[in-house]
Amino acid sequence: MNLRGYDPATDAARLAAFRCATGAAYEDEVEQWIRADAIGWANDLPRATFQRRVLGMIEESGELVAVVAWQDITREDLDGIWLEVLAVSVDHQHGGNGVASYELLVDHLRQLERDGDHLAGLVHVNNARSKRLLDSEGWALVSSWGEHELWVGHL
Amino acid sequence: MVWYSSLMIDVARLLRLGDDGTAAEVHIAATRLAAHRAALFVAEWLVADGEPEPDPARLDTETGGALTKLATLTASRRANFLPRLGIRTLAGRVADVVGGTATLVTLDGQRLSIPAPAGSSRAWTKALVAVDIEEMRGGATTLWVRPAFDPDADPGGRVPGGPHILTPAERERLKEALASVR
Repeated sequence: MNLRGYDPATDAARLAAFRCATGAAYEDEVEQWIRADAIGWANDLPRATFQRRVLGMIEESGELVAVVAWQDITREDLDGIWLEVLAVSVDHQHGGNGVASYELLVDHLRQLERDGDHLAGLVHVNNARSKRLLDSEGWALVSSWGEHELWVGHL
Repeated sequence: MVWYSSLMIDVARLLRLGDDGTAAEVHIAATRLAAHRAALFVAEWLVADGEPEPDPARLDTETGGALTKLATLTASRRANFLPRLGIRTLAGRVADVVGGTATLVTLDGQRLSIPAPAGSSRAWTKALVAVDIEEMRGGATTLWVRPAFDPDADPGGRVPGGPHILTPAERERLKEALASVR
């Protein structure tokens, strides 16, 4: 499994066809964001520069396993990395690929120049699978924002 | 125009109050923030593009959110020191300015009359301001009024919403969680 940055020459079509939703509305929202908004988010200058936005592809044997997106934390008074998305494709779910993708990502983030070691992100309140993963990786629920919860971890 | 960190005003306030220890702590916090990547982006913009009266919203937009980051970090650092600063703080929007008095509606809906800041009434009407209320010796009260920054939410974010400063309770939960995994 390897993590690399999004390549506009080869990845636009793959992202537009990416599927991670299995029926839950919150999964549909993530899938739609990846298909329609993620590339714009990663190229939204000047935010993308200051906030150090990265859109990444996790692959195994040439297959797209997961899409990840991160940037500096700017919504909170914390320093570190804001995890915008980590979505495993429907063809690779339930095989330990979520944990493996997360660990690959975190190993990568530890190598990056960053302002601090916090990790933060928003998780839908009904997204029990993601919350179990984050909990097992040492993240904690810090506050609730409507339909989402702010979870914070540490590199 | 001079831009300064409100933390440096706190340093001067604490020295006047004789709390040299806290003044030193606040000075360290201010110095660290001055070297933060966000502060460098802001400083570079001010040098390259800042006019005599820089527009904070434009600065934030053109730096990609550097002022948002710097403002949230500064506010949270100040919140940590607030019990020792000897001031009350509030923020709100100026509803109107009549003569020398501005009517301020605070974020929790209270109405408060404060002396209008210098400058034209038009410039301050509808403006967001932050106020520090300091009781001075001899019964006098000083109000420090400054323009407050109102950042826009990131339109490209997966989940809409603006910047958020952790509350003391949230910060406590975070501290406990991080301590438990080490």
